[in-house]
Amino acid sequence: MAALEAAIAATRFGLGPRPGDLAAIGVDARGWVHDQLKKPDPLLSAATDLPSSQATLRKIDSYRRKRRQMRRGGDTLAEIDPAKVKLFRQEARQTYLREVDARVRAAILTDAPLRERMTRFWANHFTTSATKGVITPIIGAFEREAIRPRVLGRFSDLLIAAESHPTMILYLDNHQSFGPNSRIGRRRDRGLNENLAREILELHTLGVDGGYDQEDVTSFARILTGWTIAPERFFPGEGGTFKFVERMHEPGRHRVLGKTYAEDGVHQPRAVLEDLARHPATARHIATKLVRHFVADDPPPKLVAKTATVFQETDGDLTEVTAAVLTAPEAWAPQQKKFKAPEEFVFSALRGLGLNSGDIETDKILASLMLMGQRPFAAPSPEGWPDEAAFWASPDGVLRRVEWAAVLGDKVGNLVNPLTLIDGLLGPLASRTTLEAVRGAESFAQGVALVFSSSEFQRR
Amino acid sequence: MKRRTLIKSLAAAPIARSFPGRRAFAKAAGENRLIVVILRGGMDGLAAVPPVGDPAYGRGRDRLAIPKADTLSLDDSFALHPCLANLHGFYKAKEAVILHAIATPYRERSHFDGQDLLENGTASPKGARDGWLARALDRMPGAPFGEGEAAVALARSMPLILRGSRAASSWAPSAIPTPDADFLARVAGLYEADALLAGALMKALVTQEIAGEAMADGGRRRLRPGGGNRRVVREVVRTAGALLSSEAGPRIGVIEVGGWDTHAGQGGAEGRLAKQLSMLDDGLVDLKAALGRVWATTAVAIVTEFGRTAAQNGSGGTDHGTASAAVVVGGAVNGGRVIADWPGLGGPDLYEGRDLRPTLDMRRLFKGLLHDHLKIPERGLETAVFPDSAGEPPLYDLVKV
Repeated sequence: MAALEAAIAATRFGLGPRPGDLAAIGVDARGWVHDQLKKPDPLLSAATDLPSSQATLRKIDSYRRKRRQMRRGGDTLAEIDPAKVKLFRQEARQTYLREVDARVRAAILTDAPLRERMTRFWANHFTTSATKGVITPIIGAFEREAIRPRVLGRFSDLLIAAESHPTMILYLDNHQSFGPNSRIGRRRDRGLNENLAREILELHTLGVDGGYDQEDVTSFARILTGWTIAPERFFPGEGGTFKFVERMHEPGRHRVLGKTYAEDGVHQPRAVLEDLARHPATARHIATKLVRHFVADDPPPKLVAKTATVFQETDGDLTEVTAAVLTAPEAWAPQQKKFKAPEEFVFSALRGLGLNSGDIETDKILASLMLMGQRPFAAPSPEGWPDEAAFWASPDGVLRRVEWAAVLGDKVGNLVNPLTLIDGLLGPLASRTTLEAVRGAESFAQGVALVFSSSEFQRR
Repeated sequence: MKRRTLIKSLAAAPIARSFPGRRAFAKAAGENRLIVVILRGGMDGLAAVPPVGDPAYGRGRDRLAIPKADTLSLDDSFALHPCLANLHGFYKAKEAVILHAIATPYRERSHFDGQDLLENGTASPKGARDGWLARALDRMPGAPFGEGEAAVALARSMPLILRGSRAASSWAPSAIPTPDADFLARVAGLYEADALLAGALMKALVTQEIAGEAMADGGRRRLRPGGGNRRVVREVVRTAGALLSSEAGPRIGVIEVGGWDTHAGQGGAEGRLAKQLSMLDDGLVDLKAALGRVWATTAVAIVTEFGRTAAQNGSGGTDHGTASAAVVVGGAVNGGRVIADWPGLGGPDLYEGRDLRPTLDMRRLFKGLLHDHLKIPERGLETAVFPDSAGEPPLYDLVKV
């Protein structure tokens, strides 16, 4: 029983065990979960040479300004040195690849896997996606700056940090939203863009059935005007940071969900976000998603209700809310109801093999994830990656994993004993059928491939 | 073990007991092909099919509206975007019907709910967890079909429209070498107690087998990452054509194309949306070529979850709207017509003062094709395939009957 709980904890609440992890968790799996919730994120204190979103945005800004000047100077676009344009694009791509590398390493090497899971869960909840090109070089910075430090803090803090981050503002077009009666709006005939307001209500807080209407969206969009990114030429020294620009802001009082918000500049959107964070529909929406993520595609309604209550009673304390899900009996049921997303599948396999820093080939891992349909930082829409087997366990998706497992088996087979591997990876979760199949494999390589293909390994 | 033998042995497993053998299938399902192309993100019907005869067209869209002289004329009232020259050719050849002011019953403005409704065939986003096309498969002459036999989604994951039917498979090109049949048989053994994975693997292998037979290179050309949307669409379209033109292959295909959510910088005759439309237009020619002789029995329905606002927004784009345009194209199509009960674009004519007002229910288009083209009896269409839709009868004669 203790061994089973250790395997459940490491697979369901972590990123899969590294060699020796199950033994280390030992008899006190619930204590391990408790420790994981308290454990600081090693990445937060580690030094990083990755550029901040501000540094990258300033570079983009200065590049664009130069281009504009050249055009004004009579140069046509064709005369701008194509090599420089290419270099600029390459640098953006390089930054993206370095961010992917850092994220892949974190997943494979971390000893605080629950925190890593929470970072990924919340980054997916507050999706920003490299499917929008301009975001590509600052998407990793978004996760590092807005999400990672707050995943076990207060929900309202996380919400405000995410919505006011330059990456989110660019992704959901708020830098292009102008109050029709703002100074710029009147002069330049620019108008509202409702994107950010709509997605906050529909995806980030209340949920699609959360009881808001089109009026609320438009009104909230008016309130959000002016939340933008500072251009360096107007705000020397502040370029590339979040900025409230009054000249874009729709003046006056606005009503959202029946409450009137007085004119308060930068604080007006904050006040709405604070109220949304405390709305019962938000508690339900977040509880549903968390339970779906850790327990089952069809979240048990009782556990959702209990989790939502904890959310409301603790004013959105995410340590307490997460604990409410992870300590529930439903979360410890031996049946593995969740089908791993491609990232979870790949990372848990590489953790299981005990990959060290020097063994990690990020370019190959990136190619694998793309083939399985989950390019890092590139969810298909603001809704994020789906969290359901119906989406991932497609015929094509399953075959790709089996193919990948076979390649991996060929690669490491001679070095890894599949029986040791399965013991350290699945412990008592391995079924008799699977153990027999692995024992009967014609080679180490085939055995390893079978372990990674098995139903127990594909699920958590 | 040969792959064919493997598939046969898998077919004998409990999960695929009713797998009837593909020759039998081809005979039972008939010759007609249906392809549904889902444009994800909300395609702007007013840009793709500009209502050039409406005096209010272009109002509030100064930067996005396309001058009538630059469009491709359909009739006195409607024209096509200049990037849709191939579609225009099909229209002239009476192989395309253009439908306008068309919408699902969805009246809110969320992509996800809008797409759910487009694909689940009910009047609400959570109205069903399976897709209308999946339910239709079970009512086609010759049903029930075996694992992954009747329909294929050209996608890495199963879109809702085909979710829920064993007869549907999904397929996307891959660069990883295929493991040998012995290994696959062992894996299939591992999935004995896991119906989800067993079914998925079975379907994938059947589809791969058909794609391999149909395409000289086995459908395993390398799809380079970062090749851009246009390249992927091209690859997908070629594979769809190969699969559907194979005698033993599926009769129904679903293709998804993203990139239509043009909130900013939409452009007019040129620009972001124009590029999308031209990609789609090229895709039609590729599809016709890949389908070969079965183009004559094919109908392709091109649809989107909703249209976009009549006026442009503050960032040179358009926001989520209501009605849009749809296209039915193919050798089987009774074309050369525009079907539209035009509501007008004048201020009071707009839905909620901002969107093109829907005057045609999208379910009528789907029901018409299912009835006339796939020979599905009308009674099942009204109750099971599109529940509670008796008030929206099939749109007959979209295909040459």
